[in-house]
Order: sequence, then structure tokens, then C-alpha cells
Amino acid sequence: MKKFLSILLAAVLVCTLAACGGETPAPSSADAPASDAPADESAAPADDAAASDMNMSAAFVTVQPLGDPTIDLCYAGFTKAVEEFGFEKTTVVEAKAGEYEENFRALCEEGYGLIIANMPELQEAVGRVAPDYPDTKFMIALGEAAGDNVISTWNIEQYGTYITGVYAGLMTKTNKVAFLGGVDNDQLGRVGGGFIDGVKASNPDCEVEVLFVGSFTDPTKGKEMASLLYNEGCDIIFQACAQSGLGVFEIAKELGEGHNIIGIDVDQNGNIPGQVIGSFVTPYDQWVYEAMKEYAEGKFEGRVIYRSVAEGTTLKMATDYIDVPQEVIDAVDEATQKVLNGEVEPSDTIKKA
Amino acid sequence: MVNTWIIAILRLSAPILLCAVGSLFCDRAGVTNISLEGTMLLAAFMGVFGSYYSGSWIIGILCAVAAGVLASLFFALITLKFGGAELVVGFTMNVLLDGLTVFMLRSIFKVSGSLVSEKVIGVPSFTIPGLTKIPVIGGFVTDLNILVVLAFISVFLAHFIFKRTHLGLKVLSSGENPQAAATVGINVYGIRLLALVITGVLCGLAGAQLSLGYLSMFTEGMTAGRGFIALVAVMFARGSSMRVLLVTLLFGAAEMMSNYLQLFQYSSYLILMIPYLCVILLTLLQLILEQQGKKKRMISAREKTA
Repeated sequence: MKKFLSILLAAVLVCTLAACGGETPAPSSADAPASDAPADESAAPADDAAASDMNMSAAFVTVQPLGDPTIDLCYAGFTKAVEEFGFEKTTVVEAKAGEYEENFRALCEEGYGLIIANMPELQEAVGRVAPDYPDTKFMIALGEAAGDNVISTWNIEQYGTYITGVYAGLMTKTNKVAFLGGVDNDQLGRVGGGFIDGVKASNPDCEVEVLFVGSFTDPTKGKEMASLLYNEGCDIIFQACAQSGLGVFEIAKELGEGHNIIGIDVDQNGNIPGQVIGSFVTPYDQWVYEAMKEYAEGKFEGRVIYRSVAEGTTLKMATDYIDVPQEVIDAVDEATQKVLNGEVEPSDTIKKA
Repeated sequence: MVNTWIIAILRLSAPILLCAVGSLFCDRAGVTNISLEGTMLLAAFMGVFGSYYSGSWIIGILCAVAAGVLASLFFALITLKFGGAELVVGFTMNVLLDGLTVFMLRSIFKVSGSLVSEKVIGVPSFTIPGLTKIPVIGGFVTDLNILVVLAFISVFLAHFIFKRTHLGLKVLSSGENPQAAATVGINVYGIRLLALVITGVLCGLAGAQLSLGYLSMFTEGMTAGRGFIALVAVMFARGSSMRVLLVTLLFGAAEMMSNYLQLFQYSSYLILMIPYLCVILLTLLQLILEQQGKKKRMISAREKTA
């Protein structure tokens, strides 16, 4: 009897399971047999939008979380364009390493019209995904990927940081300055390489120390390394280490006068008035904004855009907070002219002794 | 020069040491708690939270400790009470607490990524006057703060508790052989709960050292793997609090040296590996020594029987 009951129960269970399994595919097979139900639902409104006029939806994909000064700057450009051109559907995605490609594919499948990818880490994934979705447009803020539907903006930092180096070489009182990077990568190679050449050009006796924190998100270590650099007698640190750089600002503030910083990407001159003597700024917000404008106006054209000093990626001296000697300003202007005339060719890597 | 090195080593190892001593307690009591990283991060956040709203670093530290204990109790609730798998719960809590700090940062302070504010009052550092100029000793008395001092007190206290007190023995027996401990009337459940609370307190202090001690700010994921390094230190030390101290100091020293070595223009990738390499090499060395010890013992045993 028990055995019979258990067989009966098992049979009932199998039947119900089969019934469940039989029901689900029905609606999706009616729409499109190739893909499963949820993907279809989310793709549907996008198709409508494309049919009517423009697909006004945009996604902002970033590797570092919002809160990083550089990413926040890109995001400012994004939100400005979203408001101005009336993008209806937007999303922010924090991409996780190893899942970049899946993140992009998911956004494409969901029907986003324009995808803004930030930082070079994402360029390979965009390069692989973009050809598969010709109707989706991509923009890489700092990075390069081929494709008719991709705008890549590439920063040639070494020219701007060369000018920054010239400035640092003239402003140092100890004849020792430092470059503190996050991670030793190609981009910071250009940033640091140009900076070192600039310092050497304006002040051949000045030593340049180069250190890397090893992380963009460890302010404790950033502070430790900055305190080491100040201890070694550096009076200006050019910091390029994102959130780790917050530690640099803290130690400079603690040590007080004579411990100066040059900021990066964003105008950080007001962070510690008087001690941040300048910032190497890059108008990322402008880049993102322009690409979105192009898209909104229907003029989107895939290409690689190179940007440098002429487009505003250059030194911004903290003249609002400190007295910069006139001869230094003149020297910086002269260096800028030289760069614009193509007279100098700064190194794009940090040369190791 | 030596003094600045020692100051740096103490500073770098203090949070790891606090966390490791905490981990030692639950490890000895037989609880595998890998949620130290997340607990420390939550404590770091709550430390800043307390300091921001009260204007007092003492309240900040208390908040951090409370957060640490709360996280530990949550862990205890799921693993001890409901029998959840420790590794799974620990891992999940690391992810959960990381997300929780991000969420709270955005919802409470309306900022994302990092909170830097004048209102965050850090723990003041002090120097014992008169001794700073003496080499070596001077390094131990300069730029200290209460949390660094507590870190070093905690490790000696742990040593004392394990070696000299009934409580220490109870903790050890709960970990080594819980059935036997229960048979002689030890409340294993209670001891494990107590050990987890101690872990929470110490992880809380470690978090406070990160966000209020050395820095006075909070950034997402600011623990940067220190909780896991503490975990490794405890595994490596195999229950000896003195060895925990040794490993964390070694790690601090290696990290400090690696910072200096970069000044000599070596590749940063190579240099930044040094602290981790040191720990691996030490583990290997210990294994080799133990193997040899075993061999010797076997040989002497054979000789005795022969």
C-alpha cells in the first residue's frame, strides 16, 4: 500500500511538473521563438521607439563607482545632456571586472540606444560588442574601439602634463617633486612621462620621484605614500590616484604650509586653499555631452577623436588661491605655445632609471 | 630614519592586528568567521557616522564597536542559532555589508563614493614627550593614538587570556573538542557567542582605526582586503597570539619597505607584491620546519623502540 502511494505521489508530481513546463514556453514562442520571455518584453518598447523616431534612452557604464572625481565629472556631462535633450530612459551600471561584455550585451538587449562607457578598461568589451549591435551607438570617454557606431575619445595627456611639469619645476622650493599614480598603466605612463619631461625642461636640477599606490581606492595607502614623499623632501606631489588621492589631501592638510599638491582631472584647486597649487584638468563632461548631443541631433558618426591641450586638457593654475609669480605664468604660457606649435615631444612613458 | 620606519610599521599593522586578534578568538572557539572584512567596513562607516553627527571621536569609536558587535551577532544568529554554513554566511556578509555601506552613504549623506568632511572628527594622536629623539624607542612613542595602543594591548591581553585564565581554556576546549567540552559542563554555545562578540568589538576598533584613526573619512571599500590579511595571519599563526603579532608586524614592515623600495625606480608591480610574497614564503618556511621536526621525532621514536 505504502509503495503504491509513493508511486502515485511521484506520478502526480511528474505530471504537475510536466504541466508547468508545458505552459511556460507558450507565450514566448508566439512572439519570437529564439529568445526567452523577459528579454522580449524589455526589447519591445525599444523597437517602438526606433520605429517612431529616435530611441531616446541612454546608459552610463562605469568601472569605478560614482564618487570618484573623474567619474563624477563624466556623469555631470551625462546628466546635463539627459536633461537638455530629453532622454527618457537612463540607467547607471557599475560594471564588474570579468563581466564587462555581458553588461554591454544586456544593455543592448534591453534596447538602450546610446551607451556611454567610461575609462579604458571597457574599450575591449565595447570593441567586441559594438559590431553585433549596429543599431546601438557607443561612446567611450577615454578609450579607443573601432566601429561605425562607436565614438572613441582619446586623451593625449603627455602634452598637458608637460605644461604641468614645467609649472611644478618652477614652483618647487626644495628642488624635489613627486608623481604619485594609482596603478602603473598606459594612461598614467603618459601622464607621468609628460610631467617628468616638463619638470626637467624648466628645472634641470629638480628631482622627480615616482611612486604608485597600487590601487585607486585605498586612501590609507595613499596617505602613507604621500607622507613618505613629503618626508623625503618633496614639496609638490602631482597626484593621479583617484580615491587613494583623498589620503594625499589629508596628509598635506595635516602637515600644513609647504606641502603642496597638484590635482588631476577635476579642478581641485579649492580643496585645500593655498596648498593645491594647480590642477591638470580634462573636460570629460564636455566630451560626454558633445557625443550625446550628436546622438540626440541624429548626427552620430563613429570615429576616434584625439584630444589634447588645444581642447582644454591642460594645467589650471590656482591663481584664485595663491600668488603665482608673473615669470612662472609667462613660462607656463610659453610652454603652452610651444606645445601648441608642436615644438616639444614629451615622452609617453615613465622612464625607469 | 629608523623611527619613521617604526612609526609607519605600527600605523600599517594596527588595523590588521586588531582584526586578527578578534579573528583569533572565534578561530580558537571553533567558529570560522570570514566576514571580518565586511564587519570592519561597516564599523569604519559607522565610526564616521557617529563622529559626524556627534562631533566627538569617542562616540564615533563607540558607534564603530556597536556596529562590529551587531554584525557579529547577526553572524552568530544565522550560524550558531539556525545552523547556517559558516563560510557561506561569512562570504555573503562581506558582500552584503559592502553594499550596505554604499547604500547608507548615499541615503544618509547623499554622497557617493566617499565622505570627506570637516565634521568628521578623527581620533587625536599623541606623543610621549622627551623620548622621541631616542632611536628605536622614539618610534614607539611618536604619533600614537588610543586605537594603536589598544591594538597592542589586545594582543597581549589575548595571550594572557588563552594562557592563564579559565575563560581562555573554555574557549580553547570549545574549539578543539566541543563534545568533550559540553560533557564537562561548558556552555559551548555561550562561549562561541562570547568569542564572536569579542571579534565584533575588535573588528569595530579596527574599522575605527581606518576611518577615524589614521584617516578621517570614509570611502567605499576602504578596508582594501585588510580583513582577509588578518584572516591569513590567524591561519598562519595557528592559534598563537604572539605569532599573530609577529605576522602582522612582518606584513606591516614589508608594506613599509615596499613603499620605500619604489623610490629606487623598481617596477611598482614587483614591489607591491613583496608583502604578500613575504607571507607566502613564511608559511612555506614554517611548513618545511614542521616537516623536519616531524621527521626528527619519527627517527627518535624509532630509535627508542629499537
